[in-house]
Amino acid sequence: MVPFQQMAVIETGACIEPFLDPVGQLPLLGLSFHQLAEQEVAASGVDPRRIIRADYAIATAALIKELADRAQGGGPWRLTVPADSALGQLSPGRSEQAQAGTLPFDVFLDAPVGAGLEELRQRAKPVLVSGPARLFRRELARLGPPPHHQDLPDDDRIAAHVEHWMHLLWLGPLLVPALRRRRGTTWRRGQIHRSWVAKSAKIHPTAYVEDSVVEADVQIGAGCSIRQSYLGPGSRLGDFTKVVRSVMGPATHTLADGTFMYVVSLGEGTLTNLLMRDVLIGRRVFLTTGVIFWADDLGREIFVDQRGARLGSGRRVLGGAVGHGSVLGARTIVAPGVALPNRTTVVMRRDEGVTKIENVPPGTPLCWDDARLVPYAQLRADHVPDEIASILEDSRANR
Amino acid sequence: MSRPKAFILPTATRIAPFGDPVSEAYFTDETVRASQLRALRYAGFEPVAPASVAEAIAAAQAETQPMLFLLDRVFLTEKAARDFAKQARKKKRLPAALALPINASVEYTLPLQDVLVDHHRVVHDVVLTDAAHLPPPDADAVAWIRRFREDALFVDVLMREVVIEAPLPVIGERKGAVLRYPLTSTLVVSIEHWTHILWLNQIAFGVRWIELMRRRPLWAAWRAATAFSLDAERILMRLVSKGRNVRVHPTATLMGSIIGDNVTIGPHVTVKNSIVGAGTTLLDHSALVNSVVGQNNLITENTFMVSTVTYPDATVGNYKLQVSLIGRGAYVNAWAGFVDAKFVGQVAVAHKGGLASTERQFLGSVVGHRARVAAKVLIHPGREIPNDALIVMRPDEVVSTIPADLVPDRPMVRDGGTLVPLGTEKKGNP
Repeated sequence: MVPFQQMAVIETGACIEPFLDPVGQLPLLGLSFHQLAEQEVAASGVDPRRIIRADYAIATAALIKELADRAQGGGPWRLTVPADSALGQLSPGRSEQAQAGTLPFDVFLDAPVGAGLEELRQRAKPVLVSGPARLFRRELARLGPPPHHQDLPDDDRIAAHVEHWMHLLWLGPLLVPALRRRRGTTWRRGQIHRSWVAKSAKIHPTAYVEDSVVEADVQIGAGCSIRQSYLGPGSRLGDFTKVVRSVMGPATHTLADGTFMYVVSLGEGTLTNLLMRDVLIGRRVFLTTGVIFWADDLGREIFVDQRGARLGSGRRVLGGAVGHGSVLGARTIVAPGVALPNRTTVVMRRDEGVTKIENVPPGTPLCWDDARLVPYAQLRADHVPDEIASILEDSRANR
Repeated sequence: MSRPKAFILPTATRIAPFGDPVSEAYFTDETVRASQLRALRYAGFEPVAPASVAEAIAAAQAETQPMLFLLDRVFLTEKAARDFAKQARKKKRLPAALALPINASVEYTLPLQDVLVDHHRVVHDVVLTDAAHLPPPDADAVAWIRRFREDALFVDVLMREVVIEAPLPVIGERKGAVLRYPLTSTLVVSIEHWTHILWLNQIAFGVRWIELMRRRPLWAAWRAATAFSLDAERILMRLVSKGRNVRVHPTATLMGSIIGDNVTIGPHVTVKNSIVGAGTTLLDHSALVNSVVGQNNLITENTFMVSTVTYPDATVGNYKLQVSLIGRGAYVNAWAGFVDAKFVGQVAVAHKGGLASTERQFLGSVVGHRARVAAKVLIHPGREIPNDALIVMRPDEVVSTIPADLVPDRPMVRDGGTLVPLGTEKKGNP
């Protein structure tokens, strides 16, 4: 194995809200972001000493190799892809946008050690490498102007800048194909297709795994469905959990019948939800079933906060982010694009939970009001909808 | 010799909440008008759509053969049209009105239909007559065609049906009811209310399947035989008609369904006894049971639809959408709750300026064209959500701003669109 820490990293001090972790330390796919970037360089076969990157930049092995192959003569060289590549979909929120038909990344080859980022950006000659060759079409609600789909990268040719929480959310699932390709395919009994599964992973025979990476000591319960996803070491998935194009960090525990689509969990959390889409979940988060992250705005672009300013995400589907150590209780409903800070604790309003039940004759229609169940007739004596009228009559007659 | 004419008389019937003329009502993958024209041609008639009764009479007087008159709101299947024409001609007495014995398929759609119930049969506004028996003109097509009833012979159309009985949920201590689901290709319905579109499509599956097997008997026999089993479920899994360029994930389960062209069916999707329109996409883990989904729909992840009908271009994502009708281009999100049962009594719906019983205990609601139901709301049974309605969350229910001074680990609650410390929330403000 090629040792890490040989590649020069330009530290920008970038921290990702709401986590406030230095970007290099954020966990993804079982490693820190920094280690992940190092791993890709190592896998490319290019001498790591030739590569310099900004701490928030990453490129997969396939792109780094092509960068080295195409760069002829003296450097420094800079990785760029065509602006119309599918990687452009990761660019909203980047500090540097596409220019002259190309999208540059702060990944440099043969650059002088000690050079600053701005200097490298000025000096380095762009090397245009091809972006993702295979795309996945994500269908979107038939709302707003067409197109009602999004073509996302679906191979191992990925590069990104992680400067905002939504970049981490988008990047995580896109890195799974590269990891899976590198690990190879494991033959296991059961419904496991084109996936790498650690020997110590326990998968129920009725579970279905496709195009995924399942790390050591993972337990997958009955009827689970895991597709195009990463399950970190020690994760436990309760029965009937569905995970699609998601990353579940180490020791993530899902309770039964949760559904996670395009979700990135940084690990160690306990998660359950009826349907969670496009949400980034920090470490050690506890999420209950009734929590709702609203993920669409009726076909309009969703905006997020970036250092106090509103920023267009370029997406019509985007949930939110949950800071490390947060505990979200029942009926927490969060608007699209909202990030909850670390250690946010949300509980049920006192008036929403039923704590007292009136002593009434059997059959009396009761309804919820201010933490109590009270006779309907008492609450809204002046208004009796048709649905309830006959029940009230029956109730009065029985009395 | 030219074909006898079938005059489709215009009524002012429009179906709320859509506001569409009844001829544009949706039936599986086409309009009621398209179905009508197909049925009439199949029965040997040349359909004509005059602008008024007077125009129809003028044209009819030149006809030498017996001709058919029907209202534009009368849906009829190919078999019903052909069998009525055949039996009416055999009787050799004109005028003759189409009648159906009251059986499960008639009962299924009968509530709210303005038809003549004559002992054990229903008489529809479909009449075979000749030029000699035309009543005097009337501006109202309904009134005019009903004048035939005074001396018309009611011709019972022979029909076969298979009735599948399914137990309905038992609420409380009441005796459990049974849903009698008819499978027949002989259907005539006077479409006057959105519930008729819903109910008609719910039983469309039988119509479409029988039509399909009639056109492709060898295919159906081959598919059934190669199930290599007498188990009904296994045979149903073979009886799936797929259009061109249909993509089905290997984990999907299809049973006894009709799938249109260019449909994409995702992983772990279940489609049972349903019709899926061309260009529709069913995303992961969605399930359709006894439903009709229009063209170019998007059915999102985890959606569960039972006995529901959608017009084209809709997007539906809902955990349990039952017995409901979704309009063209409408959107129903995951969290909207359509209550579809009444504990006591029967579901009433708006009809002709008042409330009318549907004689059903189980019925959802209708969502108008282009309406968007994008909130965690509960809708009572039988409600009409108008075209272009936009239902969103109350802003104070959704956390959209985070307080700058949020203290880590301190329990917070939703209040006024933000988070406030537990105990400081305003009463009555969810």
